[in-house]
Amino acid sequence: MRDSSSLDIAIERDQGKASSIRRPFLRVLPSAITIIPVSMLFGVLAYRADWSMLEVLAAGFLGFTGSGQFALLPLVDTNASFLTMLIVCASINSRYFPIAFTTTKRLPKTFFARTFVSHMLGDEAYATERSGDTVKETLIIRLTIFAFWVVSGVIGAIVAQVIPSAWLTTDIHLGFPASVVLVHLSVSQIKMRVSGIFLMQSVMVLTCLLLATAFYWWLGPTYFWIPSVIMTAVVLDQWKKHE
Amino acid sequence: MSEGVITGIAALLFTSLLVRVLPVVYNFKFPEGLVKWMETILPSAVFLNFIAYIFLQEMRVSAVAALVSLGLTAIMAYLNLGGLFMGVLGGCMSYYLLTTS
Repeated sequence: MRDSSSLDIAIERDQGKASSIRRPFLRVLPSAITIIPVSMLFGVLAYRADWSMLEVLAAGFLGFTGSGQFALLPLVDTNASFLTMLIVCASINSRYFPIAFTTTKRLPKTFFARTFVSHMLGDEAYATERSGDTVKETLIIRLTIFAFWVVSGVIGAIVAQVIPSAWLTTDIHLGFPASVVLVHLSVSQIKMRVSGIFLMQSVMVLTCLLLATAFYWWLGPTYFWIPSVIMTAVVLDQWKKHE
Repeated sequence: MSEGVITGIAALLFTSLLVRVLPVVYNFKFPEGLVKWMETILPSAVFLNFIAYIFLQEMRVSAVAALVSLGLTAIMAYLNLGGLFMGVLGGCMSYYLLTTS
């Protein structure tokens, strides 16, 4: 009898472990699938720019950043300096600085694990994560996106060897599904976060979107992030205080 | 590996260390109010900027198609119609139809 109940407990524990892995994996899977064509496109373009498979793999693994990787291709082609590349990449990805701050509580405590998991932070992962997620759930979400991105890039480079060059000149917009996913996740997150906190929520959202648009037109898509995010946060803070 | 590519990958890695790793491994001492602000207000500000950025970037490629299809996705997400899969499917299908018609 005791053996039977021990077995039941062991099975339940195993099921619980499987479920704790499966749930965050299934949550992030749609986002991971939509980034496949984008990453494959990077692999294709890098291969066409005479990058080797190892270089495509290293760029995805060590330099995991969608827009930064694409921006790097012409810079490498023109033999730009390290400093130039760093300034461009850091400017494009500066949004991660404040984003990373907000995720510290769901990261591992040990230095190397914390470093690796924070390196795997991406837009899609951040939009999928929830503030109550455990370290394990955060790891699974980020690792899934990261693995899909790195592997898809290499597959793209392999595909580039066999597909005719003319196919690459078509007007297919491969990045659109990833944009759609980010919009969906962002709207869901905002709905969850602002509900019950602000009065006149529609007006508040519209004001913030107009503010971000103004910064985008004023400073451009590369440099608008930090000032725009800070000003939007100030507006949200004031809106909350004056309700 | 060519020198230019190694330099590029090093720049990407250093960028990641600067913008993603540094904020979480260095023990920045912030006042409690600021920490609460970063945990509650800042993420909402980031997501609102995500939305504005994606709309504006995609509208540079195809203004009407992007506005309609991303707007449809946003409405489906807000009303919680069909979950993420249906929202993405609706957005991509409408974009495809509008850009190919």
